[in-house]
Amino acid sequence: MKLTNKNNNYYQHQFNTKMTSLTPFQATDLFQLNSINLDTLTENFNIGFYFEYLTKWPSLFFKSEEIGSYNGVNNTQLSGYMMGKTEGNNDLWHTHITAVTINHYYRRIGLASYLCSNLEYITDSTPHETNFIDLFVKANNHLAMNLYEKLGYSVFRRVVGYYGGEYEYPSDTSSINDNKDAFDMRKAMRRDEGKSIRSDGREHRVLPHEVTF
Amino acid sequence: MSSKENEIFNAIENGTYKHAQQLCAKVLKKNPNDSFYKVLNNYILAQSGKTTEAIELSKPFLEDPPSDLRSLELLVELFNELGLYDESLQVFENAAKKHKTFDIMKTWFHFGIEQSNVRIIQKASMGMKNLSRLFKLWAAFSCYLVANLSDATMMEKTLFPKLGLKTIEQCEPLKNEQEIYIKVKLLQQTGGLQQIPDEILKFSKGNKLDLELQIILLDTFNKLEDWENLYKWSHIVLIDYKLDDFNTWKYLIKSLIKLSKDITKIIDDYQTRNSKLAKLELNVQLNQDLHDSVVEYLKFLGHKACAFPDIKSYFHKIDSEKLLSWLETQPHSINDDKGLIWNVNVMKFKALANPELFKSEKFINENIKLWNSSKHLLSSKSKTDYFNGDEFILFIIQSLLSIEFSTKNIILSIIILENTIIKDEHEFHLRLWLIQLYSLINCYTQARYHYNTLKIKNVQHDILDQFIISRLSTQFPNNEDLKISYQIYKSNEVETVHFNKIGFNQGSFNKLEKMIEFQKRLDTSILKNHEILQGLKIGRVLNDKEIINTYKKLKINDEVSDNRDFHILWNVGIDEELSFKDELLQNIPGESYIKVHKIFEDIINDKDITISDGLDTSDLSTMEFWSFELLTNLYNFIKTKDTDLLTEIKESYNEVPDLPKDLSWEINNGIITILETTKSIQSILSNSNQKINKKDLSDLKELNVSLLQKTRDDTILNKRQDIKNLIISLKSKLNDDEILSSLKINNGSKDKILEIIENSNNEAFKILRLL
Repeated sequence: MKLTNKNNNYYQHQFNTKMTSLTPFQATDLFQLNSINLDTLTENFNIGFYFEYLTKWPSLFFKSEEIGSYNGVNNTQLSGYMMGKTEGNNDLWHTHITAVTINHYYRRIGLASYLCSNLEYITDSTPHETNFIDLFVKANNHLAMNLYEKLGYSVFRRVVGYYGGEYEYPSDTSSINDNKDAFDMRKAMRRDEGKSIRSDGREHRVLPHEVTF
Repeated sequence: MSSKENEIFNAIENGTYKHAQQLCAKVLKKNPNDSFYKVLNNYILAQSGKTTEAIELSKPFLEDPPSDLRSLELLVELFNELGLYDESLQVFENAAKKHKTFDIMKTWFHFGIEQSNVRIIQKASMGMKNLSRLFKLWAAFSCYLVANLSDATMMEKTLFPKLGLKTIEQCEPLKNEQEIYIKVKLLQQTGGLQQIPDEILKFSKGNKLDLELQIILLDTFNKLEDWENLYKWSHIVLIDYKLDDFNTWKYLIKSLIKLSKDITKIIDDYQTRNSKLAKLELNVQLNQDLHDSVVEYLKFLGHKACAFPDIKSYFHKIDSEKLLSWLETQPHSINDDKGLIWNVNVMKFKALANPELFKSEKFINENIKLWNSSKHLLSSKSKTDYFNGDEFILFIIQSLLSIEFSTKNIILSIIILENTIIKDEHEFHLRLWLIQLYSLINCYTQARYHYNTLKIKNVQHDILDQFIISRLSTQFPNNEDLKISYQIYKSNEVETVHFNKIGFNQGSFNKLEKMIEFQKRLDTSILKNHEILQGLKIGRVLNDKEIINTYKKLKINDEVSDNRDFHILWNVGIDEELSFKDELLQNIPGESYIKVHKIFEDIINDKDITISDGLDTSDLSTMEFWSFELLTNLYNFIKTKDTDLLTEIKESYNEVPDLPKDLSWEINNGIITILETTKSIQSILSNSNQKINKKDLSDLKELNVSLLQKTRDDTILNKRQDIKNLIISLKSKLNDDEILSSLKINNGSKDKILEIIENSNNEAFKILRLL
């Protein structure tokens, strides 16, 4: 039962990150999110929003925990969480990453990638079997875009005015603004057969109401 | 609702109870057997204060409950408003027993969800279980929920799981992971561990296991001591599922040790965070020295922020002196983030090994030096990114306050933090420390300013508002801030309840237990109860009856859930509470404050009270204790006419505690507590004409008015001048302060912050003049 070197290489390829446990996100975890959600870029949703994900997509809302103890006291911390969902019809049946966020002490060790990969792995299997996985990222968030590109995502289209707020809804797509626009980034699953990949995705512009499913 | 009924409810809403009663009598005359009007009549009686009559006429409905839902719902509300909570829970149960209609059962089930009461949910769903497969699932699941309650009776623990298991077996074949989840949870409760792996694996059919079931599967193999399967499945999870999971690593190690197989090679071959920590875990399991594995880990990840929390978990098993000696041989200059984080981590390990360091000036100087060497990196970081160098500043603050928790050191800390936050505006730990320190020195407006920058929303209000809303009635009495904070509890009653019902309909069973717990914890939240009391007090000190009436309708719980997150303050540096914790959080009271102030409210509202000998008053400020003693003595005097008590009351008026001479939250707290107490006593005395003899009443009224006037006229004015003088003296005392100079904070900047502190204190006094 000892593992061979060949297997070891496989390990090395697959596991390049963390010492973390993945567990289902529970409603009471919302009481423990300060170290993650006080971050200025992390959204704090209303109860209904979190609960909709818990009830509709229970297996796609999970968290990473750092398990530990000190002086006999349990010191387990939430290090990040993933909120995902499935939506769309036919070719557009896909997985959507709604939120993925990491406690600052556990950044830059590949944890966000780990959560994304797990969501991808879960929804690539039954019963989900989606065609692609997508997310929205602010057009000026180069750090996040680099991360997603490394994970195999590419820009599918630019959503003009996505982060502009309800009072700044654009009338057309002629003028772009990196601070207000989002990139819809997608990664194709095997059954998508490349339909979600565009080499010139940045040039395809749509308005926010065109990205609802 | 008919127009007549509308008219009656409008009359109730307007407080014209006599009119409501007349209207109700008319409709009752026309419909003498209509249970709704009978209950409505009792409801009006209760609203108009005729509680004894209302109770007498309503209790028979429990014996002979009506069958229409409207009557039942109004009866529940009526019992709730009368404070008869047990009776309110009986209404639907008794109705369901008598009438057994689906409508009543379903409404009873929903009532259980609204009350986050799993016992009701269980009873109601058992009543419906033969009507559909879904109801059977609810019944089986709720049997698990009741048996899993911390206060479950022996019968609930033993019989309910068996009943649940029998019920879920009637639903077979099970259709999805959520249904399997119910069965395995019931199997865990009935001791059927052997059966769990089959149930889970039968369902998986070669696909990836659901995360919840996978965790249960591994846990079951571990409990069954089935090492072969534990090894096999932890290997599958790690390799086939590509789930790099710490708990699974631990199971892999444990099973390999139990099977006497070699694991060191697997760990040695991987250069990852996982493998480095797995090695530490292996050392622990084999009782081996950890030093070499720690060094190996730090060489690999010592420049990452996770290094400290990762290693901290093993710190008690490490030779810390040896580790610190090794760290000294590994100097890193702070040229980049890696060097910075390495130095931050080293400082953390030093402080963790010897917390006495916090009490040394040398520690402060070392951190100042490191901060000065690292702050150049601030300019190259993204505005919203976290800056690890801020940890040196927080170490300096923690050290200053450890050496002496004095006003001077609080102010020095504020000056340092304000100067840091300008350069790193999104660092929330700096803000939280500022908020708490400002609150301690009576600077509500300044604490509020920083709090607002954190953009606290939704559930965050329940876990963080203690830093801003505690004792709001005496710090800065206003209903606007309270309303914003309280909104989350209203959302809980609507949104959470709505989705908990949906959770049952959709069969999201592995989330429901904690969703119900979440609802209950918010509903009984300590902060919610604290806020209700603050609302009543604010209404009283502002003479605003509308505010009082709003909060009077809300229930103050006897048992509370403390969801407040205090740990977030300490989740920096060594991630431990320090010696000055109690002093730092002195203005934020706990559960006993609520218990005492509930008695306070009962006295004011002329209710009967009982004070137990062991009543904990440790959460009260000096003035709050004085006030409580005075009020309880008055209550007892009115009841007993004991002249010794009257003497004690008079002495209390002459022995009002002195207000602090320093900058302190207890200044506003003291003044407003006096004002609130005298106002409350004024009201009690004016309702006690028949209960106290004229002379005593007149003496007490005079003493009371004289204290109220003295506080309004002299105390507030004097305190304002005292603070002005204090600030002048502090400005000069802190001129050219060594720590500030070392941090390159000049006198101008220091004076500006002292002026902000003075202005914020003045704002706090300004509100006193309006009372």
